[in-house]
Amino acid sequence: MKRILPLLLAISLLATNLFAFSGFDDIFAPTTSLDESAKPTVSGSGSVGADVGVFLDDLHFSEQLLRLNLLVDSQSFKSEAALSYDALDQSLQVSTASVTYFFDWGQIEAGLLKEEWGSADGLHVVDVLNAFDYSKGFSDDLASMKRSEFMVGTTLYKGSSSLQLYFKPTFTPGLSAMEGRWSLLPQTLTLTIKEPPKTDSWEYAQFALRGRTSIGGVDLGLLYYRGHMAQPGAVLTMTGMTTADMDIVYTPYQLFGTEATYLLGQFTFMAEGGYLLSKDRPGSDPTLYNSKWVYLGGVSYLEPTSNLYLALMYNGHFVEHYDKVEPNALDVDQAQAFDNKAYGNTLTLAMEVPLFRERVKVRLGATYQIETEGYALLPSIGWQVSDTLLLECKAVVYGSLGSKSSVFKTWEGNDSLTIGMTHYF
Amino acid sequence: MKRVRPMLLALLIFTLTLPLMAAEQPQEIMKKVMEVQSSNSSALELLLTLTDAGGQARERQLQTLSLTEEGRTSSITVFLSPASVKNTRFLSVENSTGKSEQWIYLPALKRVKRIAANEEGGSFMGSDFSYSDMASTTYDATEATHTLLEETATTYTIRSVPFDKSSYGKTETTVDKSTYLPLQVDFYAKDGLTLEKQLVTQKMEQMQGRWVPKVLTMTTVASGHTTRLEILQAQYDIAMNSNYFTTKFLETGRP
Repeated sequence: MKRILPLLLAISLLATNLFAFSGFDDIFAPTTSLDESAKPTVSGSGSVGADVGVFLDDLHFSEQLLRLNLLVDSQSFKSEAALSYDALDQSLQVSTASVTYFFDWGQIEAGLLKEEWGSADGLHVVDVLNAFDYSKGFSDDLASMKRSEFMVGTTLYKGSSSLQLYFKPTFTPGLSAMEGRWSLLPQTLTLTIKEPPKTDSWEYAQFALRGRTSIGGVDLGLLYYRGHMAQPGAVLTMTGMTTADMDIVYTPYQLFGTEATYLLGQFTFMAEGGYLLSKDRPGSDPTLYNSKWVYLGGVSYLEPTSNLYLALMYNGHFVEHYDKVEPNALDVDQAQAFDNKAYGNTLTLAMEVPLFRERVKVRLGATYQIETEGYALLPSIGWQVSDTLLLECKAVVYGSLGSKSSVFKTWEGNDSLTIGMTHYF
Repeated sequence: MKRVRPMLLALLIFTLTLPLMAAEQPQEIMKKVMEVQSSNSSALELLLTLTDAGGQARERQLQTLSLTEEGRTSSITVFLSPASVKNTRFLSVENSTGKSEQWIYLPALKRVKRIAANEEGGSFMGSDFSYSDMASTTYDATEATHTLLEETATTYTIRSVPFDKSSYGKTETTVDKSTYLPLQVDFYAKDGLTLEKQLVTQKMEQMQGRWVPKVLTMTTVASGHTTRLEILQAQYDIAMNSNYFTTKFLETGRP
């Protein structure tokens, strides 16, 4: 991973013979009233920021992050990198780092990328290109929870339609904590994880395809993905009353999905759906996930005077052959089920209120899982102190209306508050 | 055909054409103004300076292109500053029914999103200009009654009462006789009595042989907040790459 940055910088330097896109340069002359009377051959911009967070139960730090985003942009090439340094883990992470080459009818990009599939606002059921990292709970910025992955992608445009092709030579699975306050494992069980599969091999190469078009005011997309499910399956071997060995396995599957949006006045209607065809089609292997249906429907509203934004979304899933799950077989579908049901239904609310001429933005994200009665609240407020300085305060609250076990119930003691600052340059 | 003009170009045309109806003379004035200002394509680079009552200023710089082909107008706007919104792009395309379809590209999300047309009183980028201030067709001859209030040696002052009072109850505009540009527009609330905002042309300039309001200032009376709009560059009736007005450009920033 560390080799990617020098490579990016080298490619960026190679692009210096090209002129930058900093507006419609073929039409406008450099403006003397701007502080760029001599436009650079390559433009750079970015942001630097820091986040400090605490858990509310014991005021221990939950987060100490330094963030740096860089963009080098020219007419034919663009290179971007987002880095973060975690002071708690003392680790430098490359969130994304990519190079894009543009040509007349499309683009090719390569690098550590995070891509977003699906038509809904933020929350998706067909967004499968990147796995999620749940090792530090939830964030209102879902993109920040994604694990970037090396991929090569191309987008081809024709009129209002486009076709995206992605190839991922390796597989980066989902991540969750195995110990500590974010662990979802029973605390009474001590697991010994055997050597995990080497997913950085051709055996785990993935392929994805997405076509989008507009038909009569409806934006429509068709999706196909062939790879492995991000959440791991497992073979558990009990070695004692409270100890077990765990072999991790990943379920090969294909996604056949669709996405659509339709605008009606100030309302936007969103829909996503997909069928995940598992390698375990009969649902007989307890270590692999069964095939399942996923679906999402939602509506958002933009109030034209105040620019108040509201969105309400429903998403659900239905696991096939769940009736074949044997309770004592330690089936992964059962382990992932909501209240031991084949289906799951979740409601999500999102709201944003701009105030004081967009200097202040108040946001709220809330999700409620119907079967387990678990919920999460993610309120935040952002203050644009100046054109280059943003202060944000975010909170995350987990809870449950009942006693049923769920991720929200497990994380009840992990409520946190984070204060962040971002300087744009 | 009712055209939805590109936002900021439309603002200029709107301010030029607001008040000149009702009697025959204002209609003739408006026709002349329209003839002088109309173009098949335009390119504007604008600087918005937002200043609150305490004197703290923020700047927004943007470029906007518009192109009218076969009776349909498309526009693309690119925000150049501040850095937090740099490279945000906004596309508006008039469809066959005369309505505009709009998309926005948010660079932080790297995502193009179709958005609802905001043509009412919402603030444009936190400025004192509302989206309706940017819509030139709001007050054409069929949508408002216009009355000549005063005529001097150099100006006309015209009251315009829109049939649809969703944004304003009335406006009063002072028009320069020599250039047919508005020198001042007073925007009244829906009650028609309360002065809500005031637009003043601070500087006029000839660009490519036509007079344009080079610097405008809009003031919200109640808060004292002002927005100064300066046209840094303007070009009209120029050849323009139609690939700018596509979702591909919106997504890639490349025509």
